[in-house]
Amino acid sequence: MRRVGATLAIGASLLALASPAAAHERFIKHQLKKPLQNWFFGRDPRHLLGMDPNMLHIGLLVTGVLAGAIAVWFLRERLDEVVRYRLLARLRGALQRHVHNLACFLTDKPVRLGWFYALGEWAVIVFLRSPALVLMYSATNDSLVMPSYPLEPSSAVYFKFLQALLALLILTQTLLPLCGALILGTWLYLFRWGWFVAVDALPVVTVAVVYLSAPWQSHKLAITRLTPLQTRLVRLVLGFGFLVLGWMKVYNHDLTAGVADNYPGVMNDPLVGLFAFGTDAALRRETWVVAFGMAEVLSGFMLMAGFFTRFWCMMMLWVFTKLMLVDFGWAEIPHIYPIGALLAVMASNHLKTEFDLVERKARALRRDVPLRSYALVAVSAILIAVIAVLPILWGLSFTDRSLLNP
Amino acid sequence: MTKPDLARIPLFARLTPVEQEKLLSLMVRKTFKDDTAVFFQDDPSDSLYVVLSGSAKVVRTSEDGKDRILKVFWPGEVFGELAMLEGLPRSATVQTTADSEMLVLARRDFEALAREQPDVLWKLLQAVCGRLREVGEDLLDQYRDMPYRVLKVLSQLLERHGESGPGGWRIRIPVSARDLSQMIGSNPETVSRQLETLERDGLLRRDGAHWSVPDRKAFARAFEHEASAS
Repeated sequence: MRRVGATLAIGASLLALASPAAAHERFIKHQLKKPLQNWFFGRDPRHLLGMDPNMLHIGLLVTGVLAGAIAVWFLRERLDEVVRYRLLARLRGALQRHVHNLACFLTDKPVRLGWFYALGEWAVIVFLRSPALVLMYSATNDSLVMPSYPLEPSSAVYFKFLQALLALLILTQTLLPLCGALILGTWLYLFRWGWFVAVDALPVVTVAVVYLSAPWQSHKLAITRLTPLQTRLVRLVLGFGFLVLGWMKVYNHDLTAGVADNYPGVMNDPLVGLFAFGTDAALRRETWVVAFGMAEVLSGFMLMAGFFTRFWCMMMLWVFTKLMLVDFGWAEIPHIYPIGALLAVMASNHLKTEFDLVERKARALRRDVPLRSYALVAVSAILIAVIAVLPILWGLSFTDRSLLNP
Repeated sequence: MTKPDLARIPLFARLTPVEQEKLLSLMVRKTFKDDTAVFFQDDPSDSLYVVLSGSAKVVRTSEDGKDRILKVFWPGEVFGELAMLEGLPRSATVQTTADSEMLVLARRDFEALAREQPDVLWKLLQAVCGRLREVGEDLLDQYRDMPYRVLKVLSQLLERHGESGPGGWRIRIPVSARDLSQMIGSNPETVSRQLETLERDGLLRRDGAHWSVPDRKAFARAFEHEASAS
């Protein structure tokens, strides 16, 4: 603990010397081409819970999908039996092994394949080094950590050299705990520009967790695997980051809709389409904003809770790769970083759920009172989904968004 | 279909005929084609298996995908009992190496029997302890010299699958140098070199995919010599 404290202190003092960065504007264009119907996001006492029925419709749909996915997760032991005794028992040879490995992959069980292990090693190497690429890119673009936050010209040179030095340390894996402290310090520094800015950069903290838990002699080691604890921390921080970012997209609806106005391609997402299904066509842009934000909330929550981690990592890998290569292009090249993080988690063989207590209880009940086991699964899944989605969505309807447009 | 005789299986030999009969009534006969996984590593342990015919190899796969054959089970042998008793996930994959027939005892049925007749559990526990002692001896072999380990595996194969002929003793089942290396826990190159030495010394002969021992007495002497030297 003393080592971590000292490292954090060094990192914070290094940052305290730097002049402020003027960070607000995003490189991604987000000017609204047509104003949104703001009343949709606010309170209306005529409706149930004071929310627009379309908003509530999306909230309930997301809750339903989440509850279903959680229930399937809790029942996966039973599904595993179906796969083993009904499907795998009819196969043999290489086909049987392939189907078994696929089932293991989808249910977060260890996948014992040479190429999968090599992919995991490569993903960790990319994950641990990709922040250096982001820093170098930021330094050459006069911005701080992420290209979204331009530096003030008077102090830009100090920040640029500091970032280049940090990038060099990361690329050579030198003094990783110090790198972790610097990244964490930079992220805390972003609060100076508002919690909004800091939340946007939350996924960057993920790698700081791994750096902080690395040895000081890191340059002498080939770090190619994450420990079970590191994997868990990365998953939790990454998931929490996406969860908060999802809520931010609903809260800051003008920015979200503005991005869609400038990059219409982002609107083509099957999961978002599903969540907006059945809503009023006259509120297409408004419902899209909520559905888009909720899709990120759902993904972030599943990742954070450890439900079908690999599946959600794959979904998010697809989304980030599409955003980087198709929708936004070069301006979002820093997305290489979350791609590395998601790959490292996906290829890990140490995946765990945060809700194994429910599974243990359901397993214990299963043999003696199977009906109570099913009831426990159903009630738990619905309760978790409702708590994860509805209170915050309802709470957001009370917020005053006028502060976002000074 | 002949009725299996549990008295001939060491794990169940301590049980009384009545207990054996009861246990047999709980078992289900299943057939597996060649190259079929009976269960996979990390699967939940929910049953015990008795090989009636055919054979199956126990393969432990490391996280980086490297396979190691720990053992081959032949008719009359039992596997899966340790994991079934402790309830932990399977520590290895068991895969058939020929069309096989097995008896399967589900964990829940065994637990019910053990609750009803605790004596059965006690007798099985004694047999399991014997098995554990054997495993301990196998573990110690890992610290011995390579010639001893190769000769030991070949001796075991000869013991179980050897058939006498005009040219000496022949191991009935095909075994490649790679199979042997996985059984021994070494790399194929080292094992191949060792096999070549044995061939050069006239102790071993390659017959296609099979191995033959021209002089079993000389082979036993070589094994004894390595056992005392390593």
